[in-house]
Amino acid sequence: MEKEIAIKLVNISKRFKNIYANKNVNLTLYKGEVLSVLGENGSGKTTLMNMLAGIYQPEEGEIYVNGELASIHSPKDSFKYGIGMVHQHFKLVDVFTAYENIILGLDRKTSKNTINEIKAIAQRYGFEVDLKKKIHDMSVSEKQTVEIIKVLYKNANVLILDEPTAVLTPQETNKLFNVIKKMREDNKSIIIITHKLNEVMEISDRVTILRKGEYITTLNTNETNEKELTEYMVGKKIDLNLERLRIQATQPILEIRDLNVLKDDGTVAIEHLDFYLRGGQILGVAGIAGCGQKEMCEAIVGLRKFKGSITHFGKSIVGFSPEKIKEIGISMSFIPEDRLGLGLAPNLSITDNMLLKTYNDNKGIFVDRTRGRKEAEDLIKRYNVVAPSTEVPVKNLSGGNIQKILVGREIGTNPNVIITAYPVRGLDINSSYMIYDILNEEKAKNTAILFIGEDLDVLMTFCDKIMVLCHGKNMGIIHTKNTNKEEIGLMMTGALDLTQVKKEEKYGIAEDSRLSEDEWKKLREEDQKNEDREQS
Amino acid sequence: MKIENNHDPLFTVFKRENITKKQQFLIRFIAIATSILFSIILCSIIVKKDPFTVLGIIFQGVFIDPWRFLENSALLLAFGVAIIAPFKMRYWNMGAMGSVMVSALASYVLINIFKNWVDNEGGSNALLLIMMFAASIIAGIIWSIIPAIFKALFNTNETLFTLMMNYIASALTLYVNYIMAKEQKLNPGIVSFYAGFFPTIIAPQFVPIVVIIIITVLMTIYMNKTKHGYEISVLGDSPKTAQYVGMKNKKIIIRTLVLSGLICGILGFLYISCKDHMASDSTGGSYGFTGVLVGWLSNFNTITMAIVSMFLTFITIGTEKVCSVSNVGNSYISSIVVGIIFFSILISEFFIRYRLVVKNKKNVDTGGVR
Repeated sequence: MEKEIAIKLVNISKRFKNIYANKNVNLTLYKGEVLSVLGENGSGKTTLMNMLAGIYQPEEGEIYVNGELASIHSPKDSFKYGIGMVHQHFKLVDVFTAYENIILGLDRKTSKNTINEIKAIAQRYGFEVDLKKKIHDMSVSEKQTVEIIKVLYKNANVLILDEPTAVLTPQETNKLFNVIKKMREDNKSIIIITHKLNEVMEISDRVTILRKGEYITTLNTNETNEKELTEYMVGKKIDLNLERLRIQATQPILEIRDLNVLKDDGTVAIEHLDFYLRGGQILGVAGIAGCGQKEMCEAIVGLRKFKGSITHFGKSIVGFSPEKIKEIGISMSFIPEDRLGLGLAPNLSITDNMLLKTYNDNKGIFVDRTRGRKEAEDLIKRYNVVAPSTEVPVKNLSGGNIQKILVGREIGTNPNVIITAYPVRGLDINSSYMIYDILNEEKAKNTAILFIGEDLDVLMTFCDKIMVLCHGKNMGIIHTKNTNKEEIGLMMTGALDLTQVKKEEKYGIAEDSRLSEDEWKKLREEDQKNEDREQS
Repeated sequence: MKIENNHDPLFTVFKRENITKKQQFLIRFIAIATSILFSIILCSIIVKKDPFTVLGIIFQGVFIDPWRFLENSALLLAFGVAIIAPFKMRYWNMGAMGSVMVSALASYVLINIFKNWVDNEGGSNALLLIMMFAASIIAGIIWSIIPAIFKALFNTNETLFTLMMNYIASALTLYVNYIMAKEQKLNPGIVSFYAGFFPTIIAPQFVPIVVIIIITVLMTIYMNKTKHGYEISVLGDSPKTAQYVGMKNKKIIIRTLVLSGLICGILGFLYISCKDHMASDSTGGSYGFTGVLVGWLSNFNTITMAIVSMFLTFITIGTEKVCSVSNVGNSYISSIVVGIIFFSILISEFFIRYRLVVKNKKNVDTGGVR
C-alpha cells in the first residue's frame, strides 16, 4: 500500500555565519510512521527540526506539507500546518499548572469542556498526568508529558520529539514508546531525534541519517542493524568494542560499610550499602535513574549527611568537609541532566573554571590566574577541546567540550579515587571514547574509579565489576566477565537479589580489607555514637 | 492548505551575535549625544534662552564650584561601589541608602552626646572621630547583614527586604532626631562647628573624594584579583557549583554583605564628619538608587562607573544652575534631563543586544538567530 506523504523536505540548506548547519537535506515523512533522525552531536538534527517548527527559516530548499508548498515563518505557522515540536529543553511556564500550560497561546476560547477534552486525549494515549499540578513540582518525565499533550491538544498531526529519552529512566522510556506507538496507530507521524541506536531499532519504522549537516541516507529499520547505522552516522568504521584494560588491582583504597543516605524529601536514597574500590579497577554502577546514585556520590564527597563508615586507605573520613575530602585525593564529577548545573560555572571563563577546585591552594589572598590559564591551555591541548581561547565563557562551548573540561579538570587534580557519574551523557561516540580513554589512562595509574553509567553495554565492556543498585539497595556486585545483560537487567528491576540468593558471599566486603573486622566494629561503634549524639 | 502571510510584523528584532567594541562605543555615543542635545533644546525652550546660552550656564554651574562637582560624582560612585560585590553575587542589594543613613545617624548621635565634652571640656576631637568611625561602620554592617542573614538562612527575597530596611532606616532617623530635640540635648538649629568635624585638608571635599577613590581602587582589586572576589563570581553564576566545590555559600553571602555594609558605614561617617554634619531622612539623597543604575549600566566596571557618575553629576549640577538662573521653581528640569539620559542609555543597551530589520525581506541574512 502506498503511504501518504505528510511532510517532504527538498534540498533544505541553512547557514549560520557561512557555516552550513544543514546542506541539501532531503527528508520524507509518511503518515502513520515513526521516523528517527540519527546523527552525532552537531550533525544538524535539531536545526533541521527547528525549521519545521518555525524557529529557523531555511535559506534554500522547499518544505511541502501534505503535498503543498508551505511557508513556515513562526511557530504559529508551524502549528497551523499541524506540526508540533517537543524541544529538548522544555518550554513551559514553571509557576503555571499543567492545564494552564496546555491552554497557553491557544487561539480558541477555553470552556468548561476544555479540561475534559484534555483528559480525553490523555486517556486515549495512556498518559498519566495531574493537570492541576504546577510544573515546578513535576519530574522531568511529567514535564515531557505535558509538552506532548500540549502539542496533541493543538491538533498536531506531526510530532517532533527532540531527544525525548535523554532524560528518562528505562521505565519512563518504555511508557513513552507505548504512547508513540498509539499515536502511530492513530495515523499521526512522529519524528524522533536521538543518538541511542537501540531506541532507533526499537521504535522507528525508518531512519534518516545526517552527518555534519549533510543528508546521508534513509533506511528501513527492519532492513538494517546497529552496526550499519553507526557506520553511516560516524562516516568511518569505528570499533564498537571498548577496551577493558587488564591490570593487577591493588588493595582497597576506598571502603564503605553500611552507608545510609536520605534524599532531599527525607525518603531513603541508599540503604545499608557496602562496597569498596580498588586501585586500578573500575567499578561500574548500574541502576535505573534516581535510585540513589546521586545521593551516594554526594555522601562520599561530603556534600550530604549520611550514616555509616567510609574509610580511605584505612582511615575514616566520616565528618570531613568537602574541601578536606578533595585534598586527600577523592574527586567527583557528576554530569547532571542539564550538563552545566554542577561542577562548572557557565558564565565564567575556562581559566576560572579550571581553578574552581584549586583556587584556594596557593597562599595569600589572590587567585593565581596564571596557573589557571596554563592548566586550561594544557587541558585544551591534551583533550583536543575546541575553544577559541582560554578566556571564553564555558557556556559558549559545545556539550562535548564542556564535559571534557569538567572531566579533564577532575583528573588534573591527580586523584587516587575518581567518582564519575554519567561522564558521557549526551556525547557523541567520538567524544565518549575520548572520555573512556581518559579514564583508562587513570586506571593504569592505579587510581580507583567508580563509574556510574546509563548504558549497560558500556558498563559491561568497560568496567571490571558492576554493582547494581535497586531503590538504594545493593543487589550484588559481579565481575563483568561472569555475567550478562539479562542478569543485570533482572537485578536493576529488583527481580534478582544476589545478596539474598548467595548469602554466603559477602558482597561489598573486601577479603583483604585494610582494617580487621574488629577494627571495623570499633569504627562502626564510634560512628554510631556520633550519629546518636547528632540526633539528640 | 495555504497560509496567508500578510500578518508579518513591520520590523523584526534580531539578536546580535558579535558586536565589535567600536560599534558598541558608537551606539552608546550616539545615544548620549542625542539625549544631551535633546535635553539642551528642552531646557532652552523651558527657560526661553537660546541653546548656546543654556550650554554656557551648564558649564558655568559646574566649574564655578569644581569641588562640589567632584564630591557629588565621588558620592554617586561610592554608592555604586558599595553594591558591586552583592550584585555580582546576584544578591540584589537595594539597601545601600538605608545602611548609609543609619551609619550617619550613629555618628550624629555620638556628636550630640560628646559635643559639649569636646567643645567646652577639652575633650579630644580625634577620639570622637574615631568613635564615630567605629559606630558608623558597625551600624552600616548591622543594617546590611540583617537581610543577608535572612537570605542565607531562610532564603528570603533580598530585594524587598533591603528596600523595606531603607524605610525603617529613615523612620528611625526621624525618630531619633525627634527624641534628641525633645530632650534638649541638641537644638537642631544650633550646631557645633568643631566637634565631630574632620579637619579640612585643601578643601572640605578633599578627604571624602580621596577616601572614595581609595575604596574604589581596593574594591576593583578585591573583585577581580582576590579569592573572595572569585568566590563571589562563582556563587553569582552557579550557587550549586559553588557548593559542589566546597564553598560555604552562606558564609560568602554574609561576608560580602559585611563588606558592602562596611563601605556604607564609611560613607555615612563621611557624610557627618565632612559634609552635612547632621543626619536626616534625606541623608544620601537619591544616590542610593541612582548608584544602583550607575553600577548596572557600567556592567560593574569601576572605571566606567566613575565616568558615568561624573557625567550624571555634570548634567545634574548644570541643569540645576539653569533652573536657578532662570528662576524656574525647584530643580525639576534636572530630574527630567537625567530621566531622558537614562532612558536613552537603556535604549542604546537594547540596540547593542538586538537589531531591527524592517519588514521581512527575502534572503535577509539574519546571522542565524531570531
